[in-house]
Amino acid sequence: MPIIVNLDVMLAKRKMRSRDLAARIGIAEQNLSLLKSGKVKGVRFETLERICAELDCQPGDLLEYRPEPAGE
Amino acid sequence: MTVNEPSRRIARISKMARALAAACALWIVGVTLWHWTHPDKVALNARLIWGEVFGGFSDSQLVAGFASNLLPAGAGLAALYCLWRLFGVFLSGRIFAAEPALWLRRTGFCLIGAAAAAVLDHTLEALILSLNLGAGHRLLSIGFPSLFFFGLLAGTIAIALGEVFIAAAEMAEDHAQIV
Repeated sequence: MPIIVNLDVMLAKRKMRSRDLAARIGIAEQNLSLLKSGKVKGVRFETLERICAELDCQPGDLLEYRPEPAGE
Repeated sequence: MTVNEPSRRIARISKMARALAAACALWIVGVTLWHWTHPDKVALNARLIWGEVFGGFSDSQLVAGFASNLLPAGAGLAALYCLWRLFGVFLSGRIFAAEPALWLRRTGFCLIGAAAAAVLDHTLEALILSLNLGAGHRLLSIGFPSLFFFGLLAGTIAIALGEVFIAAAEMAEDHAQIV
């Protein structure tokens, strides 16, 4: 999928563990792990807002559009 | 209303529906057996339906009539079994999933089958019960009993709802993948 989730990068920058973030934003650690690996069909604005608030970042810092090379 | 109230309500309704399905199955079996073991009732019923004077049935006529009646009764019992399984799935807490949709569709097909079997049974019964009458009095009757229209309508609705459930199950699956 051409949408890349850079949550792990932001977590590393903020020196925060997935477990802590999951607890702070009120979602299951398993769901956060799925989000980190990009294995979800969507993200609620509410979840995105909480992550941005906790990590003090913008949605653009978490999500990135990377077009797939032509022919793939 | 608590969070678990809807699921408790569904469980309560499912238990009631399963009990009703079981009672209905017993009623179908009981009434069918009782009817065909009472030739006077068979004759009375036949007179009411076809308006002919029936009677003096042989054992083979009664057995054949019973066998013919097993067609819609069997399809009806199959529909009730599907309903039993459907509400069993609801009882286990799976509402918008593929399994209940499947059982709902099966219920619909069984009901439509029962409707078709009711028409066939109507024709066969008239023929079987009039076999002992003299030439010119035997009946070849094609009729559409009330069960036909009920079965057709209920079956079509069940199949349509099954399709809706399939769409709902897909939506629920999609929703589960949104964090």
